[in-house]
Amino acid sequence: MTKVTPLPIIAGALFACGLSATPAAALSGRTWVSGHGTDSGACTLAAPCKTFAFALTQTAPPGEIDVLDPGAFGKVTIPSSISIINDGVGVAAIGIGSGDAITITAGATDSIHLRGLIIEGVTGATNGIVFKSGGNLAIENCVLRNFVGSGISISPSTSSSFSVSNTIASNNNVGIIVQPTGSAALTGVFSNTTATTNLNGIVVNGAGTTGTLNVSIADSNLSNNSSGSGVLANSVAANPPVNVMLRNVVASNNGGGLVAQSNTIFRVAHSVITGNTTGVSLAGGGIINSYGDNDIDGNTSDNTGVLTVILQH
Amino acid sequence: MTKIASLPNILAVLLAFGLSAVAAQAQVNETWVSGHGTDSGTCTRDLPCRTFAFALTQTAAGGEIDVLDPAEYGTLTITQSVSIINDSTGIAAIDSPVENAIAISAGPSDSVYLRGLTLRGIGAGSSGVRLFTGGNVAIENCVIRDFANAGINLSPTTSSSFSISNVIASNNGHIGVRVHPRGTAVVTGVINKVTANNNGVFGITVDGVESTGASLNVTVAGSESSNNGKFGVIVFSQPGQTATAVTVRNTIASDDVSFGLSAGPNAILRVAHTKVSGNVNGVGTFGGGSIFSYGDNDINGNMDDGLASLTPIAMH
Repeated sequence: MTKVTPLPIIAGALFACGLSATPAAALSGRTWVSGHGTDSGACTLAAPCKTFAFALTQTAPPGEIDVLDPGAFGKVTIPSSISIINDGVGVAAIGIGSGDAITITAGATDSIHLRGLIIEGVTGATNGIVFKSGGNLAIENCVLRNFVGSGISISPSTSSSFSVSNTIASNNNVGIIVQPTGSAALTGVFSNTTATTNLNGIVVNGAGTTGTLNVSIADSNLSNNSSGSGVLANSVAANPPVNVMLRNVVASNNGGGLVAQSNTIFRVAHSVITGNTTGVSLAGGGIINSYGDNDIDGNTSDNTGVLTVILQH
Repeated sequence: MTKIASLPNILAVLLAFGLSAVAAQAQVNETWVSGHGTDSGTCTRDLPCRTFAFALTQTAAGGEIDVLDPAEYGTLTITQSVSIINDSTGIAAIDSPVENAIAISAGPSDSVYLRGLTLRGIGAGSSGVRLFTGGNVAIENCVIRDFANAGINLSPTTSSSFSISNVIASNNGHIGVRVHPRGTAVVTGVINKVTANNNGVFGITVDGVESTGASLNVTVAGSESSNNGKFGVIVFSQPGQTATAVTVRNTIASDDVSFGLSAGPNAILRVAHTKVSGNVNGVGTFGGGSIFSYGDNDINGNMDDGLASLTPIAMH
């Protein structure tokens, strides 16, 4: 008798499992993760999940994954309009030993918002955030450190815009790289962004796209990138010129403070550039326009002779 | 049969226990501390530790100690690359009765990152953060008060870079932020959005007096150094020692008892877009130091503005 009864029990268990999978398929616009969570169910406030990756499977775009309490929530690939939000509840970490922490492969009109994440690479992890496609990317209050690639790689194949603010990208190979591909047109703003102690702080590279590329950097600190540059831009002659606007920026103690390479134009206002090996420099026809109100002294070579002065209005 | 079967079971349990004990000794990349934690095990999210010092012993080089909830977490000495991070979970404090709250004696290429900590000297606590050796130090979103000596004391014997931002270093007995390399150390750094007010003597000091390193370059931006016992920002060295250069931009140096901004021997201070007011002396040089002004500073309302000590310099 005892040997006969287990069969319906097993069948019942399988049935129950099947049933629980079905309601989980009804996705919610708001899901939750917790350090105490479990990766099952619908990731509700009452029964939160454990990882961003699982919560994503339970989130209907445009939707939001919210952090309930401190934890390490693992790497995730975002294919649609999703926000991941930690609004001051403690450390919401993604610590990874290899690969990329957050990969974004969203649709051409999708919006992605990341807020309050501590993203650290250890033992050779590649990139923090990689934006491969999407319509708009906003990053706020995030920390990205110790990646052998970039803290943030904004390299979309789709025309898009981005905003990075109150964010720190330090101790990476490149703090932040902006590098659209194909025919993608890209515009974006960095504000209150710190890119220090990388090989290069911020790199803007238009060589890979035939679209326009305009980047503004304001109120930011691009310093101590001692082997490379605070801000480096480059492109190729066949593509539209890359425009980089800088205001109230500190670019100190780098190899090169500002470096404008082929087919790029910097416009610089109200900034301090000091303690670099070379303050400002051009290569391959790059241009640095100055509004005439910058402090460029105390570099091994200030090199201010390369500046073209333009008017404030 | 059941008695025979239990022997391998016990062995299996012992073996499993032994394995897990071995695993527990491997350091991990991410550890956690909590006010409810216990200093044992590997400081996981579910079983956090109680102190930074113990958590550090369980953290692999280059790893991260995260704060789970508000508490006082004790002093520590850092000898490796590590991040200690509190991201708005409430106060993550270190009360330091006698020694430095955080001493850094790391390797010459190690990187230390401190975020969101509240350091407090209670008694003769020497300094909040003291750098002895290390390659890079970043301090963000910290409050450092009431230390007998300095809030932040960067006196490395190793060449290093630093970044201090969104930090308050106030009400310390002697100095808010001190940059004072030793030996042949070459030091560069940025002090950004830092408040160094109401310290006993100096708000911010940068000096190459004890260094023969090739250079010492520091930028101070968007900061405030006011109400200090003598000097807001002072820069100095001496002949034959490291030439010291500091650029101050968009900063307030007000109501300091002696000088708002001052430069001494073998030292250069460049000043832009900065307000110097309400001090006994606004700006002043001594021993051959130079203060270069970009001509866009507000230096008024001091008992002696000291404008004669300024050398004009062109913006570009």
